[in-house]
Amino acid sequence: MHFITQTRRSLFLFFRFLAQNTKIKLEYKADSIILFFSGAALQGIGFLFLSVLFTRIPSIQGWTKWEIIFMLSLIFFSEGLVSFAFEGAWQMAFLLNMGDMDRILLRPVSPILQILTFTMGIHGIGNMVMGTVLFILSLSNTIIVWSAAKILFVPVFIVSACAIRTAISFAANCSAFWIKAMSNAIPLMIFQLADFAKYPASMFGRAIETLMIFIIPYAFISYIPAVYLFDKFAWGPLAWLSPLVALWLACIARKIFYFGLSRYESTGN
Amino acid sequence: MRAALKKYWRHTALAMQETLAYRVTYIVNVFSMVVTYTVIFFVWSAVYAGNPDLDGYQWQEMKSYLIVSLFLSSLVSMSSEFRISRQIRTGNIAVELLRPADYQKASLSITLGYSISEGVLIAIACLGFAFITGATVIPQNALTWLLFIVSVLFSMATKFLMVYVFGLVSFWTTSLMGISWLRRGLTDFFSGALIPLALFPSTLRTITDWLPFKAIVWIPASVFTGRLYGRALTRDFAVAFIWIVVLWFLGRLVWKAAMRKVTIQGG
Repeated sequence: MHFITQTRRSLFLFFRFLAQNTKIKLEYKADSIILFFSGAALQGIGFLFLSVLFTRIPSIQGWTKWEIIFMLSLIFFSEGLVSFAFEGAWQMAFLLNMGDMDRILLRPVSPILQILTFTMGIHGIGNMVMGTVLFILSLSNTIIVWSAAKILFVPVFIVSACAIRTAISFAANCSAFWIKAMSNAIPLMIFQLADFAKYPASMFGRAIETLMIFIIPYAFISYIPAVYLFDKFAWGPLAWLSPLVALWLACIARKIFYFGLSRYESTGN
Repeated sequence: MRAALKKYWRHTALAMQETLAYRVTYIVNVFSMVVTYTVIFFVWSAVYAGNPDLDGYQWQEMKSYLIVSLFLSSLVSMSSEFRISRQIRTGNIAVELLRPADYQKASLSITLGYSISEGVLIAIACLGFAFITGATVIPQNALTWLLFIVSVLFSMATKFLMVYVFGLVSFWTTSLMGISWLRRGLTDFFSGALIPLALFPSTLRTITDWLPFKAIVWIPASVFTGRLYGRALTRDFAVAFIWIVVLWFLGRLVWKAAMRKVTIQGG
């Protein structure tokens, strides 16, 4: 019972923080419009790249254009959702160095929730819109042999994908506990690795494939669901592991955060 | 003239030292470039596994093209853009206005400084790439090398001016992030950084022929692989040169407009 009240309260607070952050950002109208469109346009260019590439060739290693765009759309959408709802993860170094972390720790609300919702990114909305458009287009341009299990799988894996993305970026940003500088390369580098998940992992050779599936499992966002939905390999149904992977990553991210926090010394105000 | 050159050379020298101070930004930039190009490399290699020849492009030539593209795309990095925007946002631009130096020329000198110190490391990374991938197509004679160097200078000038103009937009918006991503995305696509322009559909090619982006990657990389020479090259150089002049004056124009708008509060 306690757990349920706790969750309800967190959800309530999450939406309140999100609404407040959105209002703050919308104060800067020109900025918001530019960020929204540049988010969408940048993803549009990714789409354009594939379109031009596929005017020359029918498929890459048996993957058609729209199958790859399906993967791309999932990367865009999850990236967008994380920027939109959990952009605060990227503020970790700032919070630690400026002493704002003290304020967060004093409040009777989960520090993780407070950090994740510290700010929001308008460009995330652009990414989500573009991701959704490409997702729908790719579904209508590919052949999927639907089954009840697959239909059920779609919402499950989209939620898992967003959770995986959030957990990875949060954990990566926790490196700020150890690297005490305002600019920290690690989270950005780990973010960049998601580029590999825009294409079938089997294309990159064993080393990168292993990295993408087992170590920084971006493959569970796009590649593994695609293998399952398009029946590319017999192991496709293993995609059902994605909620477990998400849960596992969330636990690890939480562990890293509290471990870092135990070493945290306030900068003092 | 000599005094002026010396003044701007100081900017360049200082910028070279500054790159060493901002190691993190630098590492991130290089890393993100290497990831982008590793992905692209694998994509192209998968493409070539099924087709040995794409409109006369063979895998060997494509490898060299992509490595030169990596070099050029890293050369004038986003750090220049963010430096301008940071100065505007923090108000440090006021100090720049007091200096007896022209801001556009000073920015050019600073970007040059960044490019020199970054360029050396990027060139080493590119040689590593070339070694791993076994890229062998290089210019065959001294004239081609010379034309390549000229085209690299064109590339840097074009990119600097775009970065500069986009950076000045910070006078009107509070954050540069969106604008900067957009510029980078447009440049990556229309410069032929990821797909050689020769493989574009014809309508898109005609458009890119008249855009300034072409000078940033397509021209130098194609000179390097020996695809672009003679009359076609002369024409491309001419268009690139006109764009540099146009962008230079556009920079002046935007700066003037910004100066009419800027109010500096004492502090």
